[in-house]
Formats: sequence, C-alpha cells, structure tokens
Amino acid sequence: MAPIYRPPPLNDRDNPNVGRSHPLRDLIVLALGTGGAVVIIAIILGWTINLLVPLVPQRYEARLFGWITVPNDDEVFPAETERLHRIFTMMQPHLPPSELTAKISVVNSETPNAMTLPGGQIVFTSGLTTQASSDNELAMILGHELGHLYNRDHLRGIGMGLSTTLLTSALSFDEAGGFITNLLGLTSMSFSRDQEQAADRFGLDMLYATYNSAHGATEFFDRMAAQNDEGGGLGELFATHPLSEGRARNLRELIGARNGQ
Amino acid sequence: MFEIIVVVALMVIGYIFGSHAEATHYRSILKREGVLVHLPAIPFYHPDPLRRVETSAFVIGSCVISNDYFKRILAMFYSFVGANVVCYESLIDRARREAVLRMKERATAFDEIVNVRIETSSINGLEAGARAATSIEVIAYGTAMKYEMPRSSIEGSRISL
Repeated sequence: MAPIYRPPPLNDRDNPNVGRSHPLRDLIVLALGTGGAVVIIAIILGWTINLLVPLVPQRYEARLFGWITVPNDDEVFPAETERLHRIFTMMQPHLPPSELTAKISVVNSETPNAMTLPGGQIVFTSGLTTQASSDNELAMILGHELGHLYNRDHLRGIGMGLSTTLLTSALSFDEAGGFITNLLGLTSMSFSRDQEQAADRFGLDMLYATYNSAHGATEFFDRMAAQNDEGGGLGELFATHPLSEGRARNLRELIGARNGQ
Repeated sequence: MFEIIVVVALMVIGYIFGSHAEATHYRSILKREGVLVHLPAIPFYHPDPLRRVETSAFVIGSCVISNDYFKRILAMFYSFVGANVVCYESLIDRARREAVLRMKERATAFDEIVNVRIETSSINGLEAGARAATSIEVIAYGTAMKYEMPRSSIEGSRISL
C-alpha cells in the first residue's frame, strides 16, 4: 500500500499565506515613519512660508486686504476708542516705516481679546478695554497686535492654513488620516506660538519706546493666567498661543535682560 | 485629546482580544485540519472515474470573521505606503481555512469532496461609512462523494493506469 501523503500543518511559522512581521512593530514603524515625514513636510512648509512672506511687497498686501474693516462701535464705546487712538498716536512715531496702515476698532464683546485682520484692521473687544487697568497695559496689547501686522503674521497664517488644508484634504477622514492631520496642526501651532512670541517682543519694544518703561507689560497675561486655568506644560502643545503664564514669564525675562544692559 | 485617548484605548483592547482570539482560532484550526486531512477536498469537476458513486451531496461551509480595531488602524497606515496588509492576511487565512473545515465537517460520512470552490466577500456596512465594523465572509462549497468501494482497495489499480 502506498504511503499516505500528509501535508505539513500550516502553523504560524510555516504558513506562507500570512506575513511574518509583528503587528506592533509594524504599527510603530509606520506611525513614526508617516508621522515623522508629515512633521518634516510641515516644518519645511513653515520655513518656506517664513522665507517667502517678507518678499511679498507691502503695497500688494495693502491693496489685497485693505477692504477688510470692522465697523467701530464708537457710539457705544466712545471713551475706549478715544483712549486707544490716543495711545496709538503716541506710539506712531516709533513704528517702523511701512506701507501698511493700522485701523483700530472696538467691538462689543464680553470676552477680553484683541486681534489683527489681514490689511491692518486691529480689533479690540470692549471686554478687554474695560478690564485694562492702565494705558500701559493697552499699549502693550496694541504693540503686540501691531507686531503681528508688521511681521505680517496673517500672511504666514493664510499660507500655513492653505497648505495644511491642501495636505489634509488629500487624506481620508479615518483615524490614521486624523493622526496625520493632528500632527500637521500641532506643527503649524508651534509656528503660530513663535509668531506670538515675536509679536510680544515687538509689543514690549513699542511699550518702552512710548512710555520709557516696561510697566504694565505683563498685566494682561498675569490676569489671564489668574482668571483661566489653562493647564500646564503639555497643554501648550495643543494651543495656537503660548500659555499666559509662560508669556508673562518670558516678558519678565526680556525686561530683566533690558534692565541689565 | 479625549479622542486620542479613546482611539488608543480601543486599539489596546483590539490588540489584546484580537491576538487572543486569533491564537485560539489557529490552535483549533490546526487540530481540526489534522483530524480531517484524510478527507480530500479537490477542485476537479469529476468524481473518481474508477469508483461507482453510491451517493452524493452538496456541502457548504461558511464563516464570518470580524476585523478588530487595532488591525483596522494598522491597515490604514499600511495603505499610506502601499505595503502588504499583513494584519489582514491572517484574517483571510483563518476565514478560508475555517470555511473549508466547516465544509469538511459536514461531509465526514463521505469519501471526498469534488468541485470545491472558495468565495470571499466583505461585509462592511456601506451606509455607516468607514466607521462600520468590517468583517469578511468566506464560503467554501463542493459536492461530497460517497463511493461503493473504499479508496484503499483500488490504490494498486490506480498506479497501473
């Protein structure tokens, strides 16, 4: 009788139909690889944008975005508007020469905030102007916003936003795509935080130039830190702005360095 | 942040339970394949020409195996770089072998199964989008043959052909 053929059992080791790589190892390699590639792409994009933005002539920017304005609620907040314009007039001689012109408005909102729109429109909320305890504090914030304008951070923001949107729209909306999108967002946020710090430095310079003193530089951030619990350390990674406490500390260091000179 | 924690937690659960289920399933498959190795399942259309057919029957085995969350996320990463989706290979392998085993288990009273076909389809709830639980179904079917003469009695004559 012929011997019966018995095929070898297809166990883990001898099964040619199943790849042998370990799933955890594959996950780590793939996640680190794609994540690293995306972060590098985002950093290169950020650098490229930072290189290109100063090359855009200021008059183009003024023409392109000059139409963006916010109606001033000055009949509601005449005193606040007048106060801001007075500070701005004092600051004006110290501003760098530029074809961009700043327009200042106050809008009705409880949340203390200020922002710069493309084209030079600076908006203060009434919550911020009523909470501000001194002109110096407002001058610091105005200087910060002017810093955004002269550093042309909204152009950087538009560039980064456009390129990350293009990149993420190419990805599917599943969890792995979300992982990549999050990494892109986190990288672009680190660029945004750098811009905030640069604007803080500009604001401090303006405060000094206008009042010959750093008084009031950290008041706003100290109050924000006291009012809101912003969490610590790692929370900053997920924010477009550095945490208020860190900004105040940073400004104190800058003031200290300046006084030491 | 909360979303990331949920995804990671689901992946850990998927990995632990998924690997345990896979290891258990492979142990069971290997054991049953050893038992059923003497029942041939062949893709030929015709039964053994040397033996008279006593009876025949249609036998079918099917099996649905679900993807786990860990494998699903890992597969998305494979899809970025176009690599072999190794984590799905074991899923398909298990389902295919399980379906053939179930078909064979229906035919233990027969001598062989001819005209065996294996088909695969995915069950992925298109309406629910990408988040639906995806699973695969494998169907193995064939015609089980019972011959009048046992196979061992014709072993010699087959060689003289």
